[in-house]
Amino acid sequence: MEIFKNLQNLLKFKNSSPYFYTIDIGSDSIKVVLSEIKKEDFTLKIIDSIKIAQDENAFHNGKILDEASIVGSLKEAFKNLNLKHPLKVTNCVFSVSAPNSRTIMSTLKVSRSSKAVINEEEHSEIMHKLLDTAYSSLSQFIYEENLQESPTVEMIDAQPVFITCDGRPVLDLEGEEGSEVELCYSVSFAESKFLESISDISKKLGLEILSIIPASVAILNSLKKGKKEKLDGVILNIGASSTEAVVCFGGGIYLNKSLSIGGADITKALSKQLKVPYINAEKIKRLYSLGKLSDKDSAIVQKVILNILNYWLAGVEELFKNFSGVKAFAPEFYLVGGGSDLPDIKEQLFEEPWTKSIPFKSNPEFKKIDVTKLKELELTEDIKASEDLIPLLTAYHYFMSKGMKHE
Amino acid sequence: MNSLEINNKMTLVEIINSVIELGSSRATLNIEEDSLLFENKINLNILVKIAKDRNISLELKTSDSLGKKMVRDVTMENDESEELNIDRYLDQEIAELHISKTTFKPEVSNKKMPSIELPRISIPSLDFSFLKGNKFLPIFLGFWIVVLFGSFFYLNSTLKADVEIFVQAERFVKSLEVRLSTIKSTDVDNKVFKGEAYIQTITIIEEVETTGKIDSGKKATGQVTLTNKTDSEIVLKKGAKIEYKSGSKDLVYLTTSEYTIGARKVESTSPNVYVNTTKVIDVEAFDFGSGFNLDLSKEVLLDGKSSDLVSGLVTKAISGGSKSDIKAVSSDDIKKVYEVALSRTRDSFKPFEEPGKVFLKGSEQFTVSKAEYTGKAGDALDKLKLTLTVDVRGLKYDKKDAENFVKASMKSILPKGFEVYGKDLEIEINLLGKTNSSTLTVDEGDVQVTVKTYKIPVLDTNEIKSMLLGKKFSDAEEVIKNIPNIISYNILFNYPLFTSIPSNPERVNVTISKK
Repeated sequence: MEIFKNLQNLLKFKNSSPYFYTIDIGSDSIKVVLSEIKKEDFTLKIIDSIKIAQDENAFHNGKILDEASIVGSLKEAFKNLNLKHPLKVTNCVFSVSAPNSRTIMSTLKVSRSSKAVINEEEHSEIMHKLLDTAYSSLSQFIYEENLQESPTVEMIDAQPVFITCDGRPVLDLEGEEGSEVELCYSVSFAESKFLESISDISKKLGLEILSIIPASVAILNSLKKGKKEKLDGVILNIGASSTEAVVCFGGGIYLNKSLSIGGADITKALSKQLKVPYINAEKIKRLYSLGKLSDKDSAIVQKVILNILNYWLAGVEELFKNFSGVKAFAPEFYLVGGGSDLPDIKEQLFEEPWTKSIPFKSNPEFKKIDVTKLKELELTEDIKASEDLIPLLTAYHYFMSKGMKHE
Repeated sequence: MNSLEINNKMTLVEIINSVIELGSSRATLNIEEDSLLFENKINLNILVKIAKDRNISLELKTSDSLGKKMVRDVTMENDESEELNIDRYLDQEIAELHISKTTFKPEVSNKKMPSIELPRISIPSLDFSFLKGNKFLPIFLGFWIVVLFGSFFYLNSTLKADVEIFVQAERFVKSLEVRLSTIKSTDVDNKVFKGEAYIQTITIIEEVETTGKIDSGKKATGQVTLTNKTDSEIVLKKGAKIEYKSGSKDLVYLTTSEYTIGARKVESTSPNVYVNTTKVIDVEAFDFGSGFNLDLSKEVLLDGKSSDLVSGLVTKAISGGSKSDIKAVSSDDIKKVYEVALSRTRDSFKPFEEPGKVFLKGSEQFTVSKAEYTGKAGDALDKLKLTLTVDVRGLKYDKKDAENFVKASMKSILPKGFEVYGKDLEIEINLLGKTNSSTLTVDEGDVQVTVKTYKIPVLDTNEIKSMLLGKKFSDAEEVIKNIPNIISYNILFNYPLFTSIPSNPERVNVTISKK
């Protein structure tokens, strides 16, 4: 029953101040968003955000290698935010992406001997079974990926995709009557070791963790808010050291997978080729994305970028080949993460012939994530880069799913 | 061959770059434990794929326990995808053998290994003192030597070895693209699988609230008196226009029946005195609305005639005009009810269940054969109902036929040297959809057939036996360890003191056990 207790814990809330930080730890930077829950307006106000450059030896490929360094970076971020907004903030929400978080869609059909009302105990039993099935299915996938048996992961989120009772869609099974019950959930897990590390970090910073939210879940839910509930598509989260592909069907996450190439690989290659420090290479990359380099400089930078993108594209193709059980991918691609701002990424992704070897329902196309449609979100400034979206949408997801239940 | 040290801090891109920058067609990678390459097979596959694209042959070495298995799996997976070019195949086989020698150590179960125990023989303590100076001593010794050698030759010539090799069945998952066709016959070589057409007619009734509006109400009525000042008779047909103009107001009324207004009459001559002819005309407003109400004595005109020729006056107030909107069918409603009905047909479509047949999900195509609406655009209706008849055509296949097709295809999809283990053959058939490179029509569709089963190497016991004949125990172990996919083995001798495999094949028994 341990796994079910975890789910119940997810639904418990404590009294809290309206302010909270959302923290997104990346391999080359840490991003923090300061938000305020405005209950009277039912809105979430994004007060400010900050990005602190991160030592590459502190967090790499999803592994926290130097907790002290991360604590230091976060203290610096909080100090800077506090100078502009002297608020007492004691709570935080963490955003977590692959390879640290894995999400899998799990379906359970239950044939009941009678049509009696489903009580709390039976509901718990059904949920326990479903979550158990999700863990087993994920274990199988992980084994196929890296031969690791019984992975040490903990459940961090469970989002219903559909629940039916005798074919009727219902919101909650408890209290329903019927002989045939079917549940489908997208269940997210995170590496136990990573969870221990962020728990330690929070304690050292005197923060209480309100929630740990998979970035993919936050992004999908914001897309569903602005679009249709039964969304099909692929979310491609191009982080610094990895690229996560999240396949969504029927409004839920079917599965996520990742490869170890990301935006930082391009920055490193630029740093090496142009013989400039990493931080300057990052600036050059950003200027290139914004089209602010001269034609000649732009051509030099593009050559380096395309070389890495060739590997990246081969990786993305390999990644999609490894999604067993997907008959055809939905063609809508939602790009997030720092790497997605590069114009060449979109060109390569949608123009190269790699998609021919992967079954798509039609030619893949890029779809924008439009946060302005989220009417409960109050932005104090425009979103400048795609990488800022993840902590912002994580904060929004927390607010929409749990934030109003603080009392 | 060039060698590279891959430490566990290197990124995937750094590893790929270092392999390419080496500039050699062959490279040996010594990969440190916990390398990012072993995070998942995808990373390893990307490295191998990019190297292969650049004609670089890789040999991967590691002491990482999981890494060793992954290297083996990835090497074998890549061998599967190769074209059968004999030279290249032989070359890869050598490479694979080399990898397995350096990286793969079979797990030898302690329980399965024979523990050689000497028989407990109770040897009495004998007193040989009587032999001192005895002339029978050489005969005695000679006897025992003959007995010992005789025994040795006897035992050696009857020595038997039982070799049991345990090989592991591995999960085998393979997808192949197949054309499911209702117009062609099954052809395994050309990857064509005979399917059947699925036909169904669905009738659905959909109703929407109408959103259009039309004017309704009463038209104002009254009387006007027209005066004919001309010498000609004027004939007004029903619906002749009478106009009222005042500033921006421009109202039109229509006569409700036919009227004839006689010409003016000459009352006296020299000078001529005329008497105009008048006629009371019933009129009705052109449209609904109180705006058409008109008071007594207002001057009106007959359409096309000036007041000098025909003058008019309201002689009975034109009144009773009113206007209101009522709901009616709009063209958007017609479009909407059609789209909703079609979309609901698509969403709620569930193929009939036929025993032994499987409908190919996603192959359904919908064609509207009849659409009957309860009204047309402009009809005053609160609700618009549509009865839509939709013909559904799709593809289905026989489950048994699919199994037979896959079984017949297994030979070509299994890697060389492997066979299916057990009876479990899981088959998934999914539509690839309609893309630039795949087909989907009512007759044919490209599908992805995914086979999930277990594979096991085909081992030739006679060949293994011939390799073991006459080998010492340790050499025999080496031979066995180099056989792919083995997980453990037993070598048992009928005489525990003898540990060499007999040279006579009849006294060696090799069995392969599968797990």
